Amino acid sequence: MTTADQHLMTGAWALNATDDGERTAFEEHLRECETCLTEAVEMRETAARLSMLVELTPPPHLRDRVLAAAATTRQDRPDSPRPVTELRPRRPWIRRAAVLVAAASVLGVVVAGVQHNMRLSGEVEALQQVAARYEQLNSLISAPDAKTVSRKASNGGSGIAVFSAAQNKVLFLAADLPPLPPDRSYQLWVVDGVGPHPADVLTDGQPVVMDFVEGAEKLAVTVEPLGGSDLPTTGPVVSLPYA
Amino acid sequence: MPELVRPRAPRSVEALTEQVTPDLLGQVARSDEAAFARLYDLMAARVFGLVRRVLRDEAQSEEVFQEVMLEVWRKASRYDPSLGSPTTWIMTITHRRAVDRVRSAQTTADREVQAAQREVARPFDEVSESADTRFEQRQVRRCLSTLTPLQRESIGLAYYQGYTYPEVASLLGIALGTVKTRMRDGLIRLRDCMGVTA
Repeated sequence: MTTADQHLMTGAWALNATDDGERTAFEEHLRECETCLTEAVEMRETAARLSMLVELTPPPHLRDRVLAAAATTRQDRPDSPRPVTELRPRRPWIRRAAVLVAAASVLGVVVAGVQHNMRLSGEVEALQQVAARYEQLNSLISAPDAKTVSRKASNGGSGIAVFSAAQNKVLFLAADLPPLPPDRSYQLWVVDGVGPHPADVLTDGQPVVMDFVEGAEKLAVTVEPLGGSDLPTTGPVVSLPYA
Repeated sequence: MPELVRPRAPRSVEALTEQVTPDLLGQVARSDEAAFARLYDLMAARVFGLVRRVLRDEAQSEEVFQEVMLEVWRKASRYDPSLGSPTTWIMTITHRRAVDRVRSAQTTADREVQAAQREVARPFDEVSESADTRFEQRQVRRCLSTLTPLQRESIGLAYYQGYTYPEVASLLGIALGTVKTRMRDGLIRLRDCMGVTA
């Protein structure tokens, strides 16, 4: 993309109407272009004011719930290097929604592969459901190196992951994990020689898609306070070797 | 203490225009739970309203709302005043979370069908049902009325419904470059009309 094109992106960026790749590229651009940064900050300030027209008081019981959850949620430390926007996940190799297109392609391959060994019927079903939902996206990239790993969780249910170094993608999907109390979330971690790194909080039936991390050892899921933690506060309910 | 969440209409003008200050956010960053309760009372309606507007589903909205508020609590120390006001920081997190959820929950095709079913060309019509009780709200609406229809539709579809600019282009039947330009021109016009400065 040329600089002129980039400059036109301020509006779409401030409205959060780009995909992850474009956002990253634009934010790189902002680091080098001070006038663009000024404009971008003003645009975002402007966009935020649009929310004044749709205010709606939330159900009152949520207040106690949020305040109670905050009281038991550890806060992030202030010293991390700060990107232009606070909003990208802190680990650059974690991406989410926008990579679902890629996820669909990996899934096609995986479902075929997993079906081949029939013991994982629950997971296959879950994967098929997800795959069906993203079928339309269908920019299928074949991943001949895709590897699938599945493990039963200690509390029932299971975790399944698909690794493709060639596509630089890892997909994780939990199936049938028991529901948690409202102030708890399942959180996914990528474990390497240094220790666990927070990936994403799991949402029912939603796959998490990440970049492939060279040298990672495991994926693990723990139960954390609602919204997730910086470091695990409980032991893993399921842990899968990084393929 | 649920009674502290009051409907917004009867409150005084002063209370309605109070903003989260960098100081308050700083107290939150130092784990001050009372400060966080204060922030909650100032921001809850704005955060929940936007989430609900983008997601529409009540249960999902409540879930995402709670995630946003906790993210604000967790990340308060990462707030950088050079990148905007605390309110904007919070609303940016809110919009991001809501849009992430709506984009991961639905395929583009689903969303396009839904959009076609709801007259997409009028994203502001539903908005206009609410009464504007505050000066700032009236100002936003007045400034919106100065935009061209294409600018207004492009901005509304992206902000209130979570569409990406290629989706907006396809919904409105216009070129990608045109959408990007309309979004930018429109926001610039709004910015100047509302007197926003960095």
